[in-house]
Order: sequence, then structure tokens, then C-alpha cells
Amino acid sequence: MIAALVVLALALVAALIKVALTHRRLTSLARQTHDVVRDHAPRVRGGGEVERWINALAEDAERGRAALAHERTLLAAVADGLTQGVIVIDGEHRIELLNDAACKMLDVQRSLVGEPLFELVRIPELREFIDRPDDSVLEVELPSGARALIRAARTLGHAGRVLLLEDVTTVRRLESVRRDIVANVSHELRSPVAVIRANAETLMAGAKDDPQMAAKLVEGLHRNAERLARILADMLDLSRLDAGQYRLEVGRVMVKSVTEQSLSAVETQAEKRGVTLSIDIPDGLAVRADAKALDQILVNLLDNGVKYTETRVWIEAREVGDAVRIEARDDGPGLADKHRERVFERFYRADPSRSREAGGTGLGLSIVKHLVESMGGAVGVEPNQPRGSVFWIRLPKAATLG
Amino acid sequence: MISLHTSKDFEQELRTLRERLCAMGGRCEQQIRLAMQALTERDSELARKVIEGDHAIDRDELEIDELALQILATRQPVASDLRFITMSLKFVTDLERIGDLATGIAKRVLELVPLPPLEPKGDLGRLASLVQKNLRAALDAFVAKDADRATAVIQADLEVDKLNATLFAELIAFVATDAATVTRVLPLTSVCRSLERIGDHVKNLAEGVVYMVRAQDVRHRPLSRLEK
Repeated sequence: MIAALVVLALALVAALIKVALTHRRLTSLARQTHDVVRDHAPRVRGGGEVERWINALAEDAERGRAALAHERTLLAAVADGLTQGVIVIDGEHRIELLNDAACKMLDVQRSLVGEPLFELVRIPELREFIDRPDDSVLEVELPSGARALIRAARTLGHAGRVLLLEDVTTVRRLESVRRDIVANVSHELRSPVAVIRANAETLMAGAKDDPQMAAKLVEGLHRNAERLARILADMLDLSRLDAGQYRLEVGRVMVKSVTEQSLSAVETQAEKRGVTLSIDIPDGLAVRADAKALDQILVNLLDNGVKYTETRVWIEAREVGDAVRIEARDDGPGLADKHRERVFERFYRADPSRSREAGGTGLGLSIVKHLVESMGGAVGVEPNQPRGSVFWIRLPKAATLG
Repeated sequence: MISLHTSKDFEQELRTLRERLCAMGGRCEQQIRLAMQALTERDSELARKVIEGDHAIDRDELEIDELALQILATRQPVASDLRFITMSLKFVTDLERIGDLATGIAKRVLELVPLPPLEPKGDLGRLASLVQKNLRAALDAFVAKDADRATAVIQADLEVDKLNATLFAELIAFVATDAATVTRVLPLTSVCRSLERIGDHVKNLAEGVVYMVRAQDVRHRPLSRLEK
């Protein structure tokens, strides 16, 4: 009986100890689990089954988080690598994602995630746009002055939207340049044709019997036919250059001798206008170029100079590092800033009435630019001091012989 | 549950109102920008586009007014919501006037384009960009509910007034030296005044923002007492 009581007491004590130990272990485990969940510790200690399972869970969570982080950086890298702007907004029009290109286009900060898009980006058309059906496209002018093409798509599962912005500023500008060219070409061709037709009709109507009148009209016919021929030849040159069919044989070319040759081509014209021509080029200066192309370039620059100068046109050349800079200087009225950027465009005329009178085709400088650039050089125009313009070209220097 | 649903709808209505106001503000910014571009580039086609564009602003005014009144009638808002909505009604009036003034500038451009240009117009550009900057800042302050930024806009209007006065004197000086320039100077002084008045409306907007945020009426107060 007593023995039984003793056994019972011992069992009770043993059970109490066991309970206390288990309680301690559980408390410690709870604390450690808390630390793991809160990222204060990597794993729980101890080799029991529960600990193993908790550690397995922690590992799973870690892997999941790493995968998520990887996905996120991947998404960010993809979004930022795009040249298109990407904006994702939620159902309440709050920003969820804004890539670099979109920030740049809209001139806003990256840190705007979570902010209301339409209160920060106040483009009225954009606000109206997202209520329209899917697959619509919108073209707007952004506050920065750039033009953007915007497409919208619904994000899956909720009421948000993905907006894709494409910068079409350059495309639109080129389109307008092309429209200008087409309009200019037809204008340039139409005016000599109109003169030729009118003169021919007048001759046929009886003017051919009046020698004085006839001579004047025929001279007009000839002049305008020549002009047409020049325009067509220039256009042909340009289209060959565009198509890359203009064969250039680049070699060592002596600048002075080519320039002297080009000068003789415009001498008659210069004499007529009372313009003096001169050159100042060191002997032995050589460039890597096609001799015929360089001649064409210089003739065009000289021709241009003779037309617009007051008293003289002169060509200077010198070495600048690995290159040679050739300048055609004049003392004419010069060019206003806004024209200076555009004179190399086809058919661009700073002073339309004057240049037509002078007989230009409007293509000469454009040909110069094309030729120089296809030989790896550069062109430009600067104001001359005290007056006039400096048209310069830069070509690679030819290696010295020997 | 029902009240939760209602408050969510209310939130949505307030958001729509805010967005519509911002869009209208954006449209005004755009109108001023384009009108000034038309002036500097002597582009009458662009000027006509600006005049045409004023309809959208008028439509904004009507629709936003209606939206605000509808919220007032159905939700009976209080405190900051009430201040926001009553201020929206004023905001809309100022923005609509700004739109009209931008249209006025575009109309002057149409008068100026056939005449030879009068140089220099450099400071007119400065006045315009200052006014545009202030409008932008006022709208930003509205969005951010930032009374300090709004106060800065109110102060910056002084500079607009000062610049306007000097510019006005410069333009008048043209006429003093050459009376023939008067046909060109008059439209330019009108542009000048339009910009200055846009500046005044921007100031009203900024005062509205201060009221909305701080529940403090700062109209007709000397600037020195405006800080807090």
C-alpha cells in the first residue's frame, strides 16, 4: 500500500518535471520561432521533430522570398531597360509601377509609387483616355513638348491599367521634314516648268516673229531648262548618296591642287558678280577623301559663297589634330541663328526669293553634307568676323608619305 | 456594411473631383504654353487651335461644378471635405478665367502675325514662364495639400506684378520713340496684362489651397501676416 503510494508520488514528481521541461522547451521554441519569423535568427535550435519542421518552413519561406526578390529585380530591370514608358496604376488610379523611361517622359520622380497619377501628371487627355475601351491609342503632347503615343491595357484580375508610352517626337519631326521635301520638290520643279511653258506659248502665239521679243523668250527658255537640268542632276546625286550607290574612291588627296581646280569652275561666275576669289592652303596638306567628291564639295561651297558674298570668297585649310579643316569664308550678310541649323536640309532656303534669283537649286549644301559625312567627316557653319559666314568641313588627315 | 459601402463611393467621388480639377488645371497650363508658343513662333494656326481649345475648358467648368454640387447635395460633407468641395467651386471659376485669358493671348497673336516682328520680346517670355511656374506650383500645392508651397506662390505673385510693370514701361517706350509701332505695341501690352491677370487667378488658387488645408482665410491679408 505504502509502496504503491511512493510509486504514485514518484510518478507524479516525474510527470511534473516532464511538464516543466516541456513547458520550458515550448517557451524557448516559441521565442526562437518568433526570432526566425522576425528575421532575428536564421533557424531554431534543437533536433526535435517540431524544430525540424519549423526549420523546413523557414527554408521554404526564405527560398520563396529570394525567388520573389529575383522576380522583382528582373521586372524592374526589364521595365527600366525598355525605351517605352511603362506606368501601372491600380483601380484607384494610384501608381504601382513607373519605369525610368516614363519618369523621363513625364518629368516626374521615381518615388511617386502609391501616389495618385492624375493629380501629379496633369494631362487631361490621359485622364479621359483610361475610361475608353481597351486597345485604344492616344497621341498627346507632353508638358515637356515631346509627343507621345499612349496605349492602354487592363491589368489582369483587378481594375488597374497598364499604360505604355512611346516617344514619337523624332518620327513626327521626320514626317514633317518629308512632307516639306515633297512640297518643296514640286514647287522647285513647277516654277521653271511654268516659265518654259509660258515662254513657249508666247512664242507660238506670234512672238517668234518679233526678233527682239523672241530672243528674250528663248533666253528665258534656255535658262530655265538649264535650271531644271541642274535640279534633276542634284536630286539624282542625292538619291544615289541616300541609296549608297555613289561610289567613292577614298585615297590621298592634295587639298591645294583640288581647291585650285574647283576655283576655276566658279571663276566666270565670280567675275560677273565682281567677287574676288583667293586661297590660303599650305603645300603638302592632304586628306583621305575621294578627289571628285572633294571637288564637288568645294565647287558647291564656292558657288554658294559667290552668290551671297559682298566682295570676296576665300578658302583656308589647316590641320586640326587628326583632321583637316577646310573653310569657305565670305563677307556677305551672314545667316541668322535659326537658319544656321537648317541650311544643310534639302531645299531649305534662308531667303527664298533671293536664292532663287541667284539660281540655286536648294540642294547644294545638302549634297555637301552627304558627301562629307560619307567620307567620315563633318560639316558646319559659323558666323564670320566681322561679317559673313564660314562654311567648314572636316575630313580625316591623310598619313604623311614615307 | 452599408455605411462602409457609401463611404467608399464618397471617396471615389472626391477622387474623381480632384482628378477632374487637376486635368482642368493641366489644360490651362497647356493653353498658356501653346498661346505663348504661337506668339514667339508667329504661328496663327497654333493660335487658332488655342482659341478652339477653350471649349474644352468651358465644358470642364460646367461638369466639375455639377459634380461638386451633386456631392454637396447627396453627401452633406463636413470639415475638410466641405472645405475642399466649396473650394473646388471657386477653383473652377479661376481656372476658367485663366483659360479665357490664354485665349485672349491667342487672339492678340492673330493680330500680330501679319505685322513685322517687334524685338526684343525677351522679358515677355520671362513673365510667361514665371506665371506658368506659379500655376504649376499652385496645382502641385493643391495635390500635395501643402499650405507652405501655396504661401510661396502667393508671395511669388509680387514678382509677377513687378515684372509686368517694367515690361509695360518698356513697351510704352517703343511708342515714345516711334509712334508707328503703336499697332504692334498695343496687342503686346494686352498680352502682358493677360499674363499678369492669370497671375492674379493663380494667387487666388493658392489662397484657396491655404484655406483648404489650414481652414484659415488668407485673402486680403498683408503678406507679413501670412506665415502662420
